Amino acid sequence: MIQSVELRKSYGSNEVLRDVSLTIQKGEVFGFVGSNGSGKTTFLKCLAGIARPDSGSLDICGVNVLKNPLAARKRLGYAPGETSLYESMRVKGFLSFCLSFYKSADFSGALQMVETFGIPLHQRVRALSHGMKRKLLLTQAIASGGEVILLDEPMEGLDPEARRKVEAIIRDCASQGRTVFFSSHDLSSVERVCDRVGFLRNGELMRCGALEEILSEASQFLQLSFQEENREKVFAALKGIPAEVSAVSGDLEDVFASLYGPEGKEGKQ
Amino acid sequence: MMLARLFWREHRMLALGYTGILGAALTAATLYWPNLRDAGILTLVQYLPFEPLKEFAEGFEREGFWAYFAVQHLFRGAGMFGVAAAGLMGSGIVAREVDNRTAELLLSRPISRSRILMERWFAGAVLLLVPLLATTCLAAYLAPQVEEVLDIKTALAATVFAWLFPLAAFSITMFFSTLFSNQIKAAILVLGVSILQMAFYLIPELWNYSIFNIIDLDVTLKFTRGEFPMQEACTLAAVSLVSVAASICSFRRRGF
Repeated sequence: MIQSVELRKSYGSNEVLRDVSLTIQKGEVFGFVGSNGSGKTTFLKCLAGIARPDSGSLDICGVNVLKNPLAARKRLGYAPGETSLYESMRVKGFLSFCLSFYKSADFSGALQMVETFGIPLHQRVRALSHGMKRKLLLTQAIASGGEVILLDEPMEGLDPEARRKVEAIIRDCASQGRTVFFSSHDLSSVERVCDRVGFLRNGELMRCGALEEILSEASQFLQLSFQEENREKVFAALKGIPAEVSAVSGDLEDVFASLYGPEGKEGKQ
Repeated sequence: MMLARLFWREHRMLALGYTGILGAALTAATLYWPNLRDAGILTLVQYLPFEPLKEFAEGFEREGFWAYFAVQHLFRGAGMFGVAAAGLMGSGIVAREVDNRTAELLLSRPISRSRILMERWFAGAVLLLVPLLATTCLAAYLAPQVEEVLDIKTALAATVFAWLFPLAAFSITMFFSTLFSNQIKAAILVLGVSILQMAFYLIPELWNYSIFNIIDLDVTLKFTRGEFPMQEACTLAAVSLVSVAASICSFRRRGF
Protein backbone atom coordinates (compact mmCIF):
# COMPACT_ATOMS: atom_id res chain seq x y z
CA MET A 1 0.00 0.00 0.00
CA ILE A 2 2.82 2.40 0.92
CA GLN A 3 6.32 1.69 -0.25
CA SER A 4 9.29 3.94 0.29
CA VAL A 5 12.68 2.97 -1.09
CA GLU A 6 15.85 4.80 -0.05
CA LEU A 7 14.07 8.11 0.25
CA ARG A 8 16.34 11.11 0.72
CA LYS A 9 15.41 14.71 1.29
CA SER A 10 17.52 17.74 2.18
CA TYR A 11 16.72 21.36 2.88
CA GLY A 12 19.92 23.10 1.80
CA SER A 13 22.78 21.40 3.62
CA ASN A 14 20.43 19.92 6.20
CA GLU A 15 19.77 16.27 5.38
CA VAL A 16 16.30 15.59 6.76
CA LEU A 17 15.66 12.09 5.43
CA ARG A 18 18.42 9.56 4.82
CA ASP A 19 17.59 6.50 2.78
CA VAL A 20 14.27 5.81 4.46
CA SER A 21 12.91 2.48 3.22
CA LEU A 22 9.74 0.92 4.52
CA THR A 23 6.69 -0.96 3.33
CA ILE A 24 3.24 -0.71 4.88
CA GLN A 25 0.52 -3.19 3.99
CA LYS A 26 -3.15 -2.60 3.35
CA GLY A 27 -5.24 -2.31 6.51
CA GLU A 28 -2.21 -1.70 8.69
CA VAL A 29 -1.90 1.03 11.30
CA PHE A 30 1.66 2.29 11.26
CA GLY A 31 3.04 4.63 13.91
CA PHE A 32 5.98 6.86 13.11
CA VAL A 33 7.90 7.87 16.20
CA GLY A 34 10.86 10.17 16.65
CA SER A 35 12.10 13.16 18.55
CA ASN A 36 11.48 16.72 17.33
CA GLY A 37 13.17 17.43 14.02
CA SER A 38 13.79 13.77 13.27
CA GLY A 39 12.08 14.03 9.85
CA LYS A 40 8.61 12.60 10.54
CA THR A 41 6.67 15.54 9.10
CA THR A 42 8.96 15.77 6.09
CA PHE A 43 8.36 12.10 5.36
CA LEU A 44 4.60 12.64 5.60
CA LYS A 45 4.86 15.67 3.31
CA CYS A 46 6.75 13.55 0.79
CA LEU A 47 4.02 10.91 0.99
CA ALA A 48 1.34 13.55 0.41
CA GLY A 49 3.25 14.92 -2.58
CA ILE A 50 3.75 18.30 -0.90
CA ALA A 51 7.55 18.02 -0.59
CA ARG A 52 9.69 16.49 -3.32
CA PRO A 53 12.34 14.00 -2.23
CA ASP A 54 15.83 14.39 -3.69
CA SER A 55 16.10 10.71 -4.54
CA GLY A 56 14.47 7.36 -3.90
CA SER A 57 11.04 6.15 -4.83
CA LEU A 58 7.69 6.43 -3.16
CA ASP A 59 4.55 4.51 -4.09
CA ILE A 60 1.02 4.75 -2.70
CA CYS A 61 -1.44 2.06 -3.83
CA GLY A 62 0.90 1.28 -6.71
CA VAL A 63 1.02 4.90 -7.87
CA ASN A 64 4.39 6.60 -7.98
CA VAL A 65 4.02 9.75 -5.90
CA LEU A 66 6.94 11.49 -7.58
CA LYS A 67 5.77 10.85 -11.13
CA ASN A 68 2.06 11.20 -10.54
CA PRO A 69 1.40 13.12 -7.33
CA LEU A 70 -2.14 14.03 -8.31
CA ALA A 71 -3.23 10.41 -8.78
CA ALA A 72 -1.53 9.49 -5.51
CA ARG A 73 -3.25 12.30 -3.62
CA LYS A 74 -6.64 11.07 -4.85
CA ARG A 75 -5.99 7.91 -2.88
CA LEU A 76 -5.12 9.51 0.41
CA GLY A 77 -6.61 11.61 3.15
CA TYR A 78 -4.18 13.93 4.87
CA ALA A 79 -4.31 15.82 8.14
CA PRO A 80 -1.34 18.18 8.55
CA GLY A 81 0.29 18.81 11.90
CA GLU A 82 -0.34 22.52 11.54
CA THR A 83 -3.71 23.58 12.94
CA SER A 84 -3.83 26.97 11.21
CA LEU A 85 -6.91 26.57 9.03
CA TYR A 86 -9.15 28.79 6.93
CA GLU A 87 -10.21 30.72 9.99
CA SER A 88 -13.08 32.72 8.49
CA MET A 89 -14.94 29.59 7.32
CA ARG A 90 -17.60 27.85 9.35
CA VAL A 91 -17.01 24.24 10.32
CA LYS A 92 -19.49 22.92 7.76
CA GLY A 93 -18.07 25.12 5.03
CA PHE A 94 -14.55 24.08 5.90
CA LEU A 95 -15.44 20.40 5.61
CA SER A 96 -17.29 21.04 2.38
CA PHE A 97 -14.25 22.88 1.00
CA CYS A 98 -11.75 20.19 2.05
CA LEU A 99 -13.88 17.32 0.74
CA SER A 100 -14.95 18.99 -2.51
CA PHE A 101 -11.73 17.82 -4.15
CA TYR A 102 -12.50 14.12 -3.59
CA LYS A 103 -14.96 12.09 -5.62
CA SER A 104 -15.25 9.41 -2.95
CA ALA A 105 -15.69 11.81 -0.04
CA ASP A 106 -18.31 11.03 2.59
CA PHE A 107 -19.70 14.42 3.61
CA SER A 108 -22.56 13.07 5.72
CA GLY A 109 -20.08 10.79 7.50
CA ALA A 110 -17.92 13.84 8.17
CA LEU A 111 -20.87 15.70 9.67
CA GLN A 112 -21.64 12.72 11.90
CA MET A 113 -18.04 12.50 13.05
CA VAL A 114 -17.95 16.22 13.83
CA GLU A 115 -21.12 15.76 15.88
CA THR A 116 -19.49 12.86 17.74
CA PHE A 117 -16.58 15.13 18.58
CA GLY A 118 -18.98 17.80 19.80
CA ILE A 119 -17.84 20.46 17.34
CA PRO A 120 -20.62 22.96 16.53
CA LEU A 121 -21.20 22.90 12.77
CA HIS A 122 -22.01 26.58 12.41
CA GLN A 123 -19.10 27.79 14.50
CA ARG A 124 -16.38 29.76 12.75
CA VAL A 125 -13.13 27.82 12.56
CA ARG A 126 -11.30 30.69 14.28
CA ALA A 127 -13.48 30.19 17.36
CA LEU A 128 -12.47 26.54 17.78
CA SER A 129 -9.92 25.40 20.34
CA HIS A 130 -6.67 23.81 19.27
CA GLY A 131 -7.99 20.35 20.11
CA MET A 132 -11.21 20.90 18.13
CA LYS A 133 -9.22 22.04 15.10
CA ARG A 134 -7.16 18.87 15.43
CA LYS A 135 -10.35 16.78 15.43
CA LEU A 136 -11.67 18.72 12.43
CA LEU A 137 -8.50 17.98 10.50
CA LEU A 138 -8.77 14.32 11.39
CA THR A 139 -12.41 14.30 10.28
CA GLN A 140 -11.70 15.71 6.82
CA ALA A 141 -8.81 13.27 6.34
CA ILE A 142 -10.92 10.25 7.19
CA ALA A 143 -14.03 11.44 5.33
CA SER A 144 -11.99 12.03 2.16
CA GLY A 145 -12.55 8.34 1.42
CA GLY A 146 -8.87 7.77 0.67
CA GLU A 147 -7.49 4.25 0.94
CA VAL A 148 -4.53 5.65 2.85
CA ILE A 149 -4.87 8.05 5.76
CA LEU A 150 -1.85 10.18 6.68
CA LEU A 151 -2.02 11.90 10.04
CA ASP A 152 0.66 14.20 11.39
CA GLU A 153 0.50 14.32 15.18
CA PRO A 154 -3.23 13.51 15.39
CA MET A 155 -3.16 13.17 19.20
CA GLU A 156 -1.41 16.45 19.88
CA GLY A 157 -3.56 18.79 21.98
CA LEU A 158 -6.31 16.22 22.60
CA ASP A 159 -7.73 15.38 26.00
CA PRO A 160 -7.62 11.70 27.07
CA GLU A 161 -11.27 11.09 26.13
CA ALA A 162 -10.84 12.56 22.66
CA ARG A 163 -7.63 10.60 22.25
CA ARG A 164 -9.51 7.38 22.94
CA LYS A 165 -12.15 8.35 20.38
CA VAL A 166 -9.49 9.09 17.78
CA GLU A 167 -7.82 5.77 18.53
CA ALA A 168 -11.13 4.00 18.01
CA ILE A 169 -11.66 5.83 14.70
CA ILE A 170 -8.18 4.85 13.53
CA ARG A 171 -8.80 1.21 14.42
CA ASP A 172 -12.14 1.38 12.65
CA CYS A 173 -10.44 2.67 9.48
CA ALA A 174 -8.00 -0.22 9.61
CA SER A 175 -10.82 -2.72 10.04
CA GLN A 176 -12.34 -1.33 6.80
CA GLY A 177 -9.10 -2.19 5.02
CA ARG A 178 -7.74 1.35 4.98
CA THR A 179 -4.13 1.99 5.80
CA VAL A 180 -3.35 4.53 8.50
CA PHE A 181 0.08 6.11 8.78
CA PHE A 182 0.57 8.53 11.60
CA SER A 183 3.37 10.31 13.38
CA SER A 184 3.09 10.88 17.07
CA HIS A 185 4.91 11.77 20.24
CA ASP A 186 2.19 10.10 22.26
CA LEU A 187 3.74 6.68 22.70
CA SER A 188 0.89 5.27 24.74
CA SER A 189 -1.51 5.92 21.84
CA VAL A 190 0.94 4.44 19.37
CA GLU A 191 1.13 1.39 21.59
CA ARG A 192 -2.65 1.06 21.76
CA VAL A 193 -3.49 1.39 18.07
CA CYS A 194 -0.51 0.51 15.92
CA ASP A 195 0.24 -2.81 14.28
CA ARG A 196 3.73 -1.70 13.38
CA VAL A 197 6.03 1.06 14.54
CA GLY A 198 8.98 2.87 12.97
CA PHE A 199 11.54 4.90 14.90
CA LEU A 200 13.16 7.78 13.05
CA ARG A 201 16.29 9.53 14.31
CA ASN A 202 18.06 12.32 12.44
CA GLY A 203 16.31 11.24 9.25
CA GLU A 204 17.31 7.59 9.56
CA LEU A 205 14.90 4.78 10.22
CA MET A 206 16.52 3.25 13.28
CA ARG A 207 14.06 0.48 13.97
CA CYS A 208 10.92 -0.73 12.29
CA GLY A 209 8.79 -3.73 13.11
CA ALA A 210 5.64 -5.22 14.54
CA LEU A 211 4.54 -3.74 17.84
CA GLU A 212 4.65 -7.12 19.68
CA GLU A 213 8.13 -7.77 18.42
CA ILE A 214 9.36 -4.38 19.55
CA LEU A 215 7.63 -4.63 22.92
CA SER A 216 9.13 -8.08 23.50
CA GLU A 217 12.53 -6.44 23.10
CA ALA A 218 11.48 -3.80 25.57
CA SER A 219 10.72 -6.44 28.18
CA GLN A 220 14.43 -7.28 28.32
CA PHE A 221 15.05 -4.05 30.19
CA LEU A 222 15.83 -4.22 33.88
CA GLN A 223 14.54 -1.84 36.42
CA LEU A 224 16.84 -1.16 39.33
CA SER A 225 15.58 0.28 42.57
CA PHE A 226 18.15 1.34 45.12
CA GLN A 227 18.96 3.86 47.79
CA GLU A 228 20.57 7.07 46.60
CA GLU A 229 23.71 6.47 48.67
CA ASN A 230 24.23 3.19 46.80
CA ARG A 231 24.15 4.77 43.32
CA GLU A 232 27.92 4.53 42.78
CA LYS A 233 28.02 0.96 43.97
CA VAL A 234 25.15 -0.01 41.64
CA PHE A 235 27.03 1.32 38.69
CA ALA A 236 30.26 -0.33 39.84
CA ALA A 237 28.87 -3.81 40.09
CA LEU A 238 25.51 -5.45 40.47
CA LYS A 239 26.49 -8.44 42.51
CA GLY A 240 26.57 -8.16 46.28
CA ILE A 241 24.89 -4.76 46.26
CA PRO A 242 21.86 -4.28 48.50
CA ALA A 243 19.58 -3.43 45.58
CA GLU A 244 16.38 -5.00 44.38
CA VAL A 245 16.80 -6.21 40.81
CA SER A 246 13.63 -7.14 38.96
CA ALA A 247 12.59 -7.60 35.35
CA VAL A 248 9.51 -5.59 34.36
CA SER A 249 7.54 -5.58 31.11
CA GLY A 250 8.66 -2.60 29.08
CA ASP A 251 6.71 -0.24 26.88
CA LEU A 252 7.48 2.01 23.95
CA GLU A 253 8.83 4.63 26.32
CA ASP A 254 11.64 2.23 27.15
CA VAL A 255 12.31 1.46 23.50
CA PHE A 256 12.34 5.18 22.75
CA ALA A 257 14.74 5.85 25.58
CA SER A 258 17.06 3.05 24.49
CA LEU A 259 17.12 4.34 20.89
CA TYR A 260 17.34 8.04 21.58
CA GLY A 261 19.05 8.15 24.96
CA PRO A 262 18.42 10.86 27.53
CA GLU A 263 18.40 13.60 24.85
CA GLY A 264 15.72 11.84 22.87
CA LYS A 265 13.68 11.30 25.97
CA GLU A 266 13.90 15.01 26.74
CA GLY A 267 12.84 15.82 23.18
CA LYS A 268 9.84 13.56 23.50
CA GLN A 269 6.70 15.29 24.69
CA MET B 1 -14.30 25.94 -9.21
CA MET B 2 -14.15 25.58 -5.43
CA LEU B 3 -11.00 27.67 -5.21
CA ALA B 4 -12.46 30.40 -7.41
CA ARG B 5 -15.54 30.53 -5.19
CA LEU B 6 -13.33 30.73 -2.10
CA PHE B 7 -11.34 33.55 -3.71
CA TRP B 8 -14.53 35.46 -4.48
CA ARG B 9 -15.75 35.01 -0.94
CA GLU B 10 -12.47 36.10 0.59
CA HIS B 11 -12.27 39.19 -1.61
CA ARG B 12 -15.92 40.22 -1.74
CA MET B 13 -15.42 43.19 0.57
CA LEU B 14 -12.41 44.37 -1.40
CA ALA B 15 -14.40 44.02 -4.63
CA LEU B 16 -17.31 45.94 -3.11
CA GLY B 17 -14.96 48.66 -1.94
CA TYR B 18 -13.36 48.83 -5.39
CA THR B 19 -16.77 49.10 -7.04
CA GLY B 20 -17.84 51.74 -4.54
CA ILE B 21 -14.74 53.85 -5.11
CA LEU B 22 -15.04 53.55 -8.90
CA GLY B 23 -18.74 54.41 -8.78
CA ALA B 24 -18.38 57.33 -6.37
CA ALA B 25 -15.41 58.82 -8.23
CA LEU B 26 -17.11 58.47 -11.61
CA THR B 27 -20.43 59.85 -10.39
CA ALA B 28 -18.76 62.86 -8.80
CA ALA B 29 -16.65 63.47 -11.91
CA THR B 30 -19.62 63.15 -14.27
CA LEU B 31 -21.78 65.50 -12.24
CA TYR B 32 -18.94 68.01 -12.10
CA TRP B 33 -18.45 67.89 -15.87
CA PRO B 34 -20.93 70.71 -16.77
CA ASN B 35 -19.02 73.12 -14.47
CA LEU B 36 -15.77 72.28 -16.19
CA ARG B 37 -17.25 72.37 -19.67
CA ASP B 38 -19.03 75.67 -19.13
CA ALA B 39 -16.11 77.37 -17.37
CA GLY B 40 -13.85 76.80 -20.37
CA ILE B 41 -11.40 74.01 -19.84
CA LEU B 42 -8.44 75.72 -21.49
CA THR B 43 -8.52 78.48 -18.91
CA LEU B 44 -7.71 75.85 -16.30
CA VAL B 45 -4.69 74.47 -18.13
CA GLN B 46 -2.30 77.11 -16.80
CA TYR B 47 -3.14 76.08 -13.21
CA LEU B 48 -2.42 72.40 -13.73
CA PRO B 49 0.94 71.32 -12.26
CA PHE B 50 2.02 68.51 -14.59
CA GLU B 51 2.40 68.38 -18.36
CA PRO B 52 0.31 65.19 -18.78
CA LEU B 53 -2.55 66.79 -16.85
CA LYS B 54 -2.42 69.79 -19.18
CA GLU B 55 -2.60 67.41 -22.12
CA PHE B 56 -5.61 65.74 -20.54
CA ALA B 57 -7.34 69.12 -20.21
CA GLU B 58 -6.57 69.96 -23.83
CA GLY B 59 -8.01 66.57 -24.75
CA PHE B 60 -11.23 67.40 -22.86
CA GLU B 61 -11.53 70.64 -24.80
CA ARG B 62 -10.88 68.93 -28.12
CA GLU B 63 -12.74 65.63 -27.70
CA GLY B 64 -15.39 66.53 -25.14
CA PHE B 65 -17.07 64.18 -22.69
CA TRP B 66 -15.55 60.97 -24.10
CA ALA B 67 -12.02 62.21 -23.30
CA TYR B 68 -13.17 63.18 -19.81
CA PHE B 69 -14.71 59.73 -19.30
CA ALA B 70 -11.54 58.05 -20.62
CA VAL B 71 -9.30 59.90 -18.19
CA GLN B 72 -11.61 59.64 -15.20
CA HIS B 73 -12.66 56.03 -15.61
CA LEU B 74 -10.19 54.24 -17.85
CA PHE B 75 -6.97 55.98 -16.81
CA ARG B 76 -7.73 56.77 -13.18
CA GLY B 77 -10.32 54.07 -12.42
CA ALA B 78 -8.82 51.07 -14.19
CA GLY B 79 -5.23 52.30 -14.25
CA MET B 80 -4.83 53.53 -10.70
CA PHE B 81 -7.61 52.12 -8.53
CA GLY B 82 -7.58 48.91 -10.59
CA VAL B 83 -3.86 48.38 -10.07
CA ALA B 84 -4.26 48.97 -6.34
CA ALA B 85 -7.07 46.38 -6.20
CA ALA B 86 -5.02 43.98 -8.34
CA GLY B 87 -2.04 44.34 -6.01
CA LEU B 88 -4.14 43.62 -2.93
CA MET B 89 -5.89 40.64 -4.53
CA GLY B 90 -2.95 39.08 -6.30
CA SER B 91 -0.45 39.32 -3.48
CA GLY B 92 -2.32 36.77 -1.40
CA ILE B 93 -2.77 34.05 -4.00
CA VAL B 94 0.11 31.95 -2.67
CA ALA B 95 1.87 34.13 -0.10
CA ARG B 96 -1.21 34.31 2.11
CA GLU B 97 -1.52 30.51 2.16
CA VAL B 98 2.10 30.29 3.27
CA ASP B 99 1.72 33.13 5.76
CA ASN B 100 -1.45 31.64 7.26
CA ARG B 101 0.08 28.15 7.21
CA THR B 102 -2.78 26.72 5.19
CA ALA B 103 -0.58 25.86 2.18
CA GLU B 104 0.10 22.34 3.45
CA LEU B 105 -3.60 21.55 3.73
CA LEU B 106 -4.37 22.98 0.29
CA LEU B 107 -1.45 21.28 -1.44
CA SER B 108 -2.42 17.90 -0.01
CA ARG B 109 -5.73 18.03 -1.95
CA PRO B 110 -5.86 16.20 -5.28
CA ILE B 111 -5.53 19.36 -7.32
CA SER B 112 -2.52 20.48 -9.31
CA ARG B 113 -0.61 23.60 -8.42
CA SER B 114 -1.25 25.08 -11.85
CA ARG B 115 -5.00 24.56 -11.37
CA ILE B 116 -4.84 26.33 -8.00
CA LEU B 117 -3.24 29.34 -9.67
CA MET B 118 -5.47 29.31 -12.73
CA GLU B 119 -8.71 29.16 -10.71
CA ARG B 120 -7.59 32.04 -8.55
CA TRP B 121 -6.31 34.04 -11.51
CA PHE B 122 -9.64 33.59 -13.26
CA ALA B 123 -11.54 34.61 -10.12
CA GLY B 124 -9.36 37.70 -9.70
CA ALA B 125 -9.75 38.63 -13.39
CA VAL B 126 -13.54 38.53 -13.01
CA LEU B 127 -13.40 40.60 -9.81
CA LEU B 128 -11.38 43.25 -11.62
CA LEU B 129 -13.60 43.31 -14.71
CA VAL B 130 -17.13 43.31 -13.27
CA PRO B 131 -16.82 46.54 -11.23
CA LEU B 132 -15.30 48.32 -14.23
CA LEU B 133 -18.11 47.22 -16.55
CA ALA B 134 -20.76 48.04 -13.97
CA THR B 135 -19.43 51.55 -13.44
CA THR B 136 -19.12 52.10 -17.19
CA CYS B 137 -22.85 51.35 -17.41
CA LEU B 138 -23.36 53.83 -14.59
CA ALA B 139 -21.49 56.48 -16.58
CA ALA B 140 -23.63 55.77 -19.65
CA TYR B 141 -26.70 56.22 -17.45
CA LEU B 142 -25.41 59.46 -15.90
CA ALA B 143 -24.25 61.06 -19.16
CA PRO B 144 -27.73 62.28 -20.25
CA GLN B 145 -28.11 63.94 -16.83
CA VAL B 146 -25.27 66.28 -17.84
CA GLU B 147 -26.52 66.65 -21.40
CA GLU B 148 -23.94 64.32 -22.87
CA VAL B 149 -24.12 60.98 -24.69
CA LEU B 150 -21.81 58.07 -24.01
CA ASP B 151 -22.03 55.31 -26.60
CA ILE B 152 -22.34 52.23 -24.41
CA LYS B 153 -20.80 49.81 -26.92
CA THR B 154 -17.72 51.93 -27.44
CA ALA B 155 -17.44 52.60 -23.73
CA LEU B 156 -17.67 48.89 -22.86
CA ALA B 157 -15.10 47.98 -25.51
CA ALA B 158 -12.73 50.61 -24.14
CA THR B 159 -13.37 49.36 -20.60
CA VAL B 160 -12.47 45.80 -21.55
CA PHE B 161 -9.27 47.13 -23.09
CA ALA B 162 -8.51 49.20 -19.98
CA TRP B 163 -9.17 46.11 -17.81
CA LEU B 164 -6.14 44.46 -19.42
CA PHE B 165 -3.99 46.94 -17.50
CA PRO B 166 -4.99 45.92 -13.94
CA LEU B 167 -5.12 42.33 -15.18
CA ALA B 168 -1.45 42.54 -16.15
CA ALA B 169 -0.68 44.05 -12.74
CA PHE B 170 -2.67 41.26 -11.10
CA SER B 171 -0.75 38.60 -13.05
CA ILE B 172 2.60 40.14 -12.14
CA THR B 173 1.53 40.32 -8.50
CA MET B 174 0.54 36.66 -8.63
CA PHE B 175 4.06 35.85 -9.79
CA PHE B 176 5.56 37.74 -6.84
CA SER B 177 3.10 35.98 -4.57
CA THR B 178 4.55 32.61 -5.62
CA LEU B 179 8.00 33.83 -4.57
CA PHE B 180 7.18 35.38 -1.21
CA SER B 181 5.95 33.94 2.06
CA ASN B 182 4.41 37.20 3.15
CA GLN B 183 1.48 38.82 1.36
CA ILE B 184 2.35 42.34 2.52
CA LYS B 185 5.83 42.16 0.96
CA ALA B 186 4.40 41.13 -2.41
CA ALA B 187 1.72 43.84 -2.26
CA ILE B 188 4.17 46.56 -1.22
CA LEU B 189 6.52 45.61 -4.05
CA VAL B 190 3.83 45.87 -6.73
CA LEU B 191 2.17 48.98 -5.32
CA GLY B 192 5.59 50.62 -4.86
CA VAL B 193 6.53 49.95 -8.49
CA SER B 194 3.13 51.29 -9.61
CA ILE B 195 3.59 54.54 -7.67
CA LEU B 196 7.07 54.90 -9.15
CA GLN B 197 5.66 54.35 -12.62
CA MET B 198 3.00 56.99 -12.02
CA ALA B 199 5.74 59.40 -10.90
CA PHE B 200 7.58 58.64 -14.16
CA TYR B 201 4.39 59.44 -16.05
CA LEU B 202 4.14 62.88 -14.50
CA ILE B 203 7.77 63.83 -15.22
CA PRO B 204 8.18 64.83 -18.89
CA GLU B 205 11.78 63.54 -19.08
CA LEU B 206 10.74 60.10 -17.79
CA TRP B 207 7.31 59.95 -19.38
CA ASN B 208 8.44 57.49 -22.06
CA TYR B 209 9.48 54.98 -19.40
CA SER B 210 6.08 54.81 -17.74
CA ILE B 211 3.78 51.86 -18.29
CA PHE B 212 0.81 54.21 -17.79
CA ASN B 213 1.38 55.38 -21.38
CA ILE B 214 -0.37 52.23 -22.47
CA ILE B 215 -3.77 53.37 -21.23
CA ASP B 216 -3.53 57.14 -21.40
CA LEU B 217 -5.81 59.40 -23.38
CA ASP B 218 -3.93 59.14 -26.69
CA VAL B 219 -4.56 55.39 -26.72
CA THR B 220 -8.15 55.29 -25.47
CA LEU B 221 -9.21 58.05 -27.88
CA LYS B 222 -8.69 55.52 -30.67
CA PHE B 223 -12.03 53.98 -29.70
CA THR B 224 -13.88 57.17 -30.70
CA ARG B 225 -12.35 56.86 -34.16
CA GLY B 226 -13.57 53.28 -34.46
CA GLU B 227 -10.04 51.91 -34.03
CA PHE B 228 -8.81 49.31 -31.57
CA PRO B 229 -5.40 49.79 -29.90
CA MET B 230 -4.23 46.36 -30.95
CA GLN B 231 -0.55 46.83 -30.17
CA GLU B 232 -1.20 48.02 -26.63
CA ALA B 233 -3.80 45.30 -26.05
CA CYS B 234 -1.41 42.61 -27.28
CA THR B 235 1.37 43.99 -25.08
CA LEU B 236 -0.84 43.89 -21.98
CA ALA B 237 -2.18 40.42 -22.83
CA ALA B 238 1.36 39.15 -23.39
CA VAL B 239 2.49 40.55 -20.03
CA SER B 240 -0.38 38.70 -18.36
CA LEU B 241 0.35 35.44 -20.19
CA VAL B 242 4.07 35.53 -19.45
CA SER B 243 3.38 36.38 -15.79
CA VAL B 244 0.89 33.52 -15.46
CA ALA B 245 3.35 31.09 -17.08
CA ALA B 246 6.15 32.32 -14.81
CA SER B 247 3.86 31.98 -11.78
CA ILE B 248 3.03 28.38 -12.65
CA CYS B 249 6.71 27.49 -13.11
CA SER B 250 7.66 29.22 -9.88
CA PHE B 251 4.84 27.62 -7.87
CA ARG B 252 5.57 24.15 -9.24
CA ARG B 253 9.21 24.44 -8.25
CA ARG B 254 8.57 25.92 -4.86
CA GLY B 255 9.35 23.65 -1.92
CA PHE B 256 7.08 23.38 1.13
